[in-house]
Amino acid sequence: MLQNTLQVLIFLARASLAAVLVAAGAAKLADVRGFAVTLGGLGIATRLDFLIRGLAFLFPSLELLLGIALVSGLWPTLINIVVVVLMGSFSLVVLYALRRKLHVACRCFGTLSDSQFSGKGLTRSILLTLLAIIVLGGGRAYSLQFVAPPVAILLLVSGFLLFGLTAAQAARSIAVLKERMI
Amino acid sequence: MYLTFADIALPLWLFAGQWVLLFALGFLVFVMFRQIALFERLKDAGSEREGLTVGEKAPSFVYQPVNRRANPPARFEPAGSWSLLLFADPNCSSCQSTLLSLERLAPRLTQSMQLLVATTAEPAVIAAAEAFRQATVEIGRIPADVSMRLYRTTVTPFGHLIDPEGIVRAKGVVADEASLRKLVRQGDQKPVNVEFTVS
Repeated sequence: MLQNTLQVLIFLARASLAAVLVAAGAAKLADVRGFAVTLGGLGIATRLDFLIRGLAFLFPSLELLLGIALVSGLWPTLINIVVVVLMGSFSLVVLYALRRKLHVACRCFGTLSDSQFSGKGLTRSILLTLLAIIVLGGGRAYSLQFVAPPVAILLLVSGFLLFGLTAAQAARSIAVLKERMI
Repeated sequence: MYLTFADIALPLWLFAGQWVLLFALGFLVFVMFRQIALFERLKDAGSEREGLTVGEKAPSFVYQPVNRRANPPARFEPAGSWSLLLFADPNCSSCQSTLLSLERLAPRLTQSMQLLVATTAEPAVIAAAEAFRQATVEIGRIPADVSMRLYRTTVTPFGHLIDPEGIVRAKGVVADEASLRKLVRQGDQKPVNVEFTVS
């Protein structure tokens, strides 16, 4: 019974990570220009405009792909390791911004959030990193292979993709509202 | 591994994934409405409560010029000539479009008034925003206290039109060229003799 509960919790944690990655990636992709400003504010030389624009597109795409890969159940160990590395890197970036006292909008979820890098953001980032580590550790104890018909997995992936589209559209709509209202 | 509910066997992963997806969608809707409510509040506050009151004396302050070659700290003295003070943030895209509009109007405006775009952003953030990087109008870095406490401005882009006596004649959110022109014209409608016009 305990084994089953633990496995359910690990599956829930993994699906939550996937939802966070898909939402963050899709919302950032809807506002690549804004995320590029954040990267510039973090200290990437602004003369390397091409690099900033490239990274502003690459990071959210990676997040989105990782989120979908988590849901699809493909190469679970490899994907979990990459997610841990990515989440850990985000925590380091937030820590760097806080230590340098940079007043830069985080845009961790595109225009869905307006907050700057803060202690709250760092806590959230560390919690997500811990969650990713737990999922990775759980993958060693329990099988993370999904025993389900391919059609069911495909439907679930489609659901998460639709969620990503919704998050991107929400971010765009908020950006338009912001432009008109402020 | 399967979970059985009322004779229906569901793969566990599908079960977990669907519930998380449902909650995530619910949370997304919550976040959207929260953001919309925040903007509505800002909109209400924008033109009425934000900034100095019309008729109030505008305080002077020290700023760090951003787009000059030599940049010792300068002082913004809102007296002696008309002044347009615009608070802007490179992170906000409407500020960037307002700055581009100001650039277009600047050749006419600078004949009769001093222009200053004040921002609290870090130099790297300013440099990352193209409109700010290429601006020819004066951009000055200010401590957050100047906008928040001295000018009581928390939204951007927000402008103050100040007369030669140092009195605020008009203020408001200037999110586009039309609102920028309107702000400048507001100064024109006052009984004070204003020498400039923006067509």
